[in-house]
Amino acid sequence: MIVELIGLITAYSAVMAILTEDTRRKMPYINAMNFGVTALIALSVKHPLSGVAALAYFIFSTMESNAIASTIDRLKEVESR
Amino acid sequence: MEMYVLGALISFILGWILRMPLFPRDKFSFEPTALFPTVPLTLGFLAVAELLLKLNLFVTFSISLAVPLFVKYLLNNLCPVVEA
Amino acid sequence: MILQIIVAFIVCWLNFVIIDVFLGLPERPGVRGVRQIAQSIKEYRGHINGGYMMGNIVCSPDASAGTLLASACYYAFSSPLGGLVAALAVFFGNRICSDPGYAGTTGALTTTLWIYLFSSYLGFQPEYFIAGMVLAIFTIQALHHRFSSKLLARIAKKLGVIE
Repeated sequence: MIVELIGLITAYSAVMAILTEDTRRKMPYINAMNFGVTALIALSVKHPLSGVAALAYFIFSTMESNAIASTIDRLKEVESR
Repeated sequence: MEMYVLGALISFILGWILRMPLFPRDKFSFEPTALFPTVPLTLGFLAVAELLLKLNLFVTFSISLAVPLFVKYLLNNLCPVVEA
Repeated sequence: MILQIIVAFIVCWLNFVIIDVFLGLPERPGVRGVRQIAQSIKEYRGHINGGYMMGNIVCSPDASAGTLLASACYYAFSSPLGGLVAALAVFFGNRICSDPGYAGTTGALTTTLWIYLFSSYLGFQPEYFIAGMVLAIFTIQALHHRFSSKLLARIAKKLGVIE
């Protein structure tokens, strides 16, 4: 039941990220999707290595979001010049 | 449990001896202090050590003596501060 | 079980919102990209300070990530040591994302404390906290951006962080 609930939330966030037009406002939906995927990884197998995999997945996905957001900021700066 | 309390106390006192400031100045400062990055890092490294090998007095002492040195001299080289 | 998930949801929501607001996420953008996300939420007729907080949650692992990863590692290691390991990892992730890292580490440590108390005295399982945290971040980041940014700004005003 917990896995189905988290999977539903993850799928809803992914669909909303596709349906939103504004690129900058897609980022919170993608973040919610990453939370769901991290929870699914951690719940898949009850072993310490799945916890380590969840840690690595979440932290590196956040770094990726950071890089995308600063690239958007830099592009806007170039456009407004 | 006792090992964690002992390690946190030792690392806090060693940070104080190394003349780091005791508490962070405000919520946005990157400066390493004796309370903030030192004590959570000591607890985390002690947890990793307990998972990999059993925790005894020698391991606790060596980790809690190494972490304040790491925080004071090496942390800003490992993760340099990038101002926005 | 549904009642336990709802209780875990309330605990996680209060934990990460109060720590994030107190440690200054709604005050200013931490890295460069946060400004653009907050601007787009403002153009969507939301509140700019709530937008700063949502952008900061996107751009670096804060108390929300600390709460989720501490409960996930508590579940995976099946002992409170997982929360401490999660605090260590969240601190280094924060530093790589050029964030001081107060919010993430505090969130992970307090969540470990809550799960320890709830599981030893009330019989909760750590997976209820994982589900509760996913529900909590869903209400903030994906349900309705206008409403959630105004709610966050109102909470920050009530706690006296912004004027």
